[in-house]
Amino acid sequence: MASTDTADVVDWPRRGRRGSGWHFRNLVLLGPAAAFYVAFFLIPLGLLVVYSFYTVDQVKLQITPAFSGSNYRAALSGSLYLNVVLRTVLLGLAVGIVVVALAFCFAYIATFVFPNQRELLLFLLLASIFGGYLVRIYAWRTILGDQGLINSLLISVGVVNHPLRFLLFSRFAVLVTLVNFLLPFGVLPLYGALQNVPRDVLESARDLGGGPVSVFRTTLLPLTSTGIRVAFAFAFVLAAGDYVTPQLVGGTNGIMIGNVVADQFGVAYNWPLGAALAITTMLLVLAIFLLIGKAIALASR
Amino acid sequence: MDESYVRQIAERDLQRLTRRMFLARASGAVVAASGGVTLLSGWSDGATRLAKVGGQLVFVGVDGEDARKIAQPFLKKNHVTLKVSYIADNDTLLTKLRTGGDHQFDVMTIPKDSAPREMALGFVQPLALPGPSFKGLFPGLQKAPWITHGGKVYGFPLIWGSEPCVYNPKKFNGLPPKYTDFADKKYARSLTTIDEPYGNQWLVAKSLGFGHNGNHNELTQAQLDKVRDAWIELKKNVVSMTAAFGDQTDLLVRGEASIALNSWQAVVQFAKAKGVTLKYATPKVDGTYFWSDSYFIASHAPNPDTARAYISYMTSPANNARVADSLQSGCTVAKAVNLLPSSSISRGYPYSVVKAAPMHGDIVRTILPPETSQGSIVGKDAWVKSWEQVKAS
Repeated sequence: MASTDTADVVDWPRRGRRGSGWHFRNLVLLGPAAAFYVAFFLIPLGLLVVYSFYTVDQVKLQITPAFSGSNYRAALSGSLYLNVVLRTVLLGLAVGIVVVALAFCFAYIATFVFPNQRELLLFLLLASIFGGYLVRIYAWRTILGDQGLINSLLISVGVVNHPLRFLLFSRFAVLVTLVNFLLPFGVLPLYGALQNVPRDVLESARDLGGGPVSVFRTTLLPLTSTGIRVAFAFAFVLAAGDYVTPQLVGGTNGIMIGNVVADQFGVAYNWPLGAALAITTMLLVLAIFLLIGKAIALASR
Repeated sequence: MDESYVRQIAERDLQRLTRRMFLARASGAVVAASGGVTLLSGWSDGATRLAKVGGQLVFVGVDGEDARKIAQPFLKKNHVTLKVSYIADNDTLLTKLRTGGDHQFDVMTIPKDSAPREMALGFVQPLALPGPSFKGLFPGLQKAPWITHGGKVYGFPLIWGSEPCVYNPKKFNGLPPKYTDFADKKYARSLTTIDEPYGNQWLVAKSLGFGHNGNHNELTQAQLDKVRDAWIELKKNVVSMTAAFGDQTDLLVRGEASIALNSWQAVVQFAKAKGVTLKYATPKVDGTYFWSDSYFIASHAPNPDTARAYISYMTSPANNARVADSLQSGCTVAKAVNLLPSSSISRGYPYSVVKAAPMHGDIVRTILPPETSQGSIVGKDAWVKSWEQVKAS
């Protein structure tokens, strides 16, 4: 009797072992996630790319289908947008580096220093996300303000006589707020990576005479490089794309490309230019991320 | 159908028809016909449709103009849930309308400079309010160009005023005579303003004496560049550019800023509610511009009957007085002025401005630049780019 097993009946291309690779069952399991990804990421991204070549009639408020490179010329040629993009990338890099550094320390402490309390530590960290994004921004405005917690404390103990004005409405405030918000996103992948580092490997490295820096560079870094890259990606990409934080705590010097894109979409009704700016920034951020990722991979060899 | 068959049926029915049956059927037919006419007329477009008030009412406008507390009796009586969304500039509203907001919003408050465009683009519907509401308006406002289009009335003026500076009297005794004077070092880390590209630059253009035929919204590129440079100097003293008047109030209340440029008298009231006393004034030499916000109903509002009823309620003389007083602005309904509290700042407004019909040319002038460049006069996109350069500097 002929077999009714699907795997025998249908000659699938790139047919792997059952339960791996491009097996039909795996494709079916991937289907919903893939469909969601296509519907809510790839298609909108594709539309954004298409829009970036359109033009706009400001009188009738109509976006005109076209194939014009004028928006990209405007995005790349003027110093205005390039300066803001550069500022955005630099701030994103700073946030990414600080988040990775702090997240690594936290994940290391949770994994190796207080292993019995790691779940509590993780819960406390993740609970901070439940407060909401805007709530946390306004909380930082209260903490960093002229009459906020930090300035009040410093003045009361006599460290300063006047409030430290750089704490709020500055790039420093944007950095602090973004690091605080993105830290949990950095901790999670690093925690997962550190969970897979056998403790005896670290002990062996120390037994062989390795100092802390040497153990980190030769043992921890190679074993957690993927986690570091993921943590950096979360922090860098999310920071570079943010525009609410700069608006609320950045003052007049904290403007980032997200604010400019929001203005194009919300105020100027120049969606094509906004789309071109968004795509340009996305490509630049991607390129930098790939470079940084390569650097981390090289450093971990 | 066979004619003989029809005649046969008719004859059979006529034979059964008695006088009583005839009268009953005839009267029933009359009732049915009149009910059908009533229903038909009730379902026709416009104010003749049977009004159904209730449900959710979506309001989009400037902080505080929903006047929720004042509207509470109306909301409660009619089981209306008011859903409110605040915006700081009208271009944001325009974008929302362009992307489907005209099907989602019911009532909007739109400033006088932006309303003509909303009407021309078909985002709002003609306003047919029950009762004599329009006749209660000040004469100058009854036919204001920003509420009428193509011979039809689309909006109902809610409040009016000027765009003053709001300041903390404990930090500063008063204001300098010109906006460009705010670049002085003594105002370091003292200023705030709303993040919008037109009013801010218009004020500095006026301060610099730029414009065409007295219109400070008509600038050449060279003039706009100088306005931008002046603003870059001013910006050194600006703490933050806020997205809404609520944020601006917070900065002034916390003491992180002491003077708000391009502000609103209502900010004084918002701050008073938080226990802080502020004052408003205008640079004596430069002055400022006139504004008026009006109620409009979105062209495809989901709940237009409730929107009309809400507007009618809020524009009664008593409620117009309450709204104006709460926002420290001028009344638009003539009888509302005498209903203002005796201590109300709204009493001190120069109502001769809105009594004159038509209103004075300076009042009705727009602060918005042309939609597109016209000859040497630059359009809106140049103003937006200029403002972005200010912010990015």
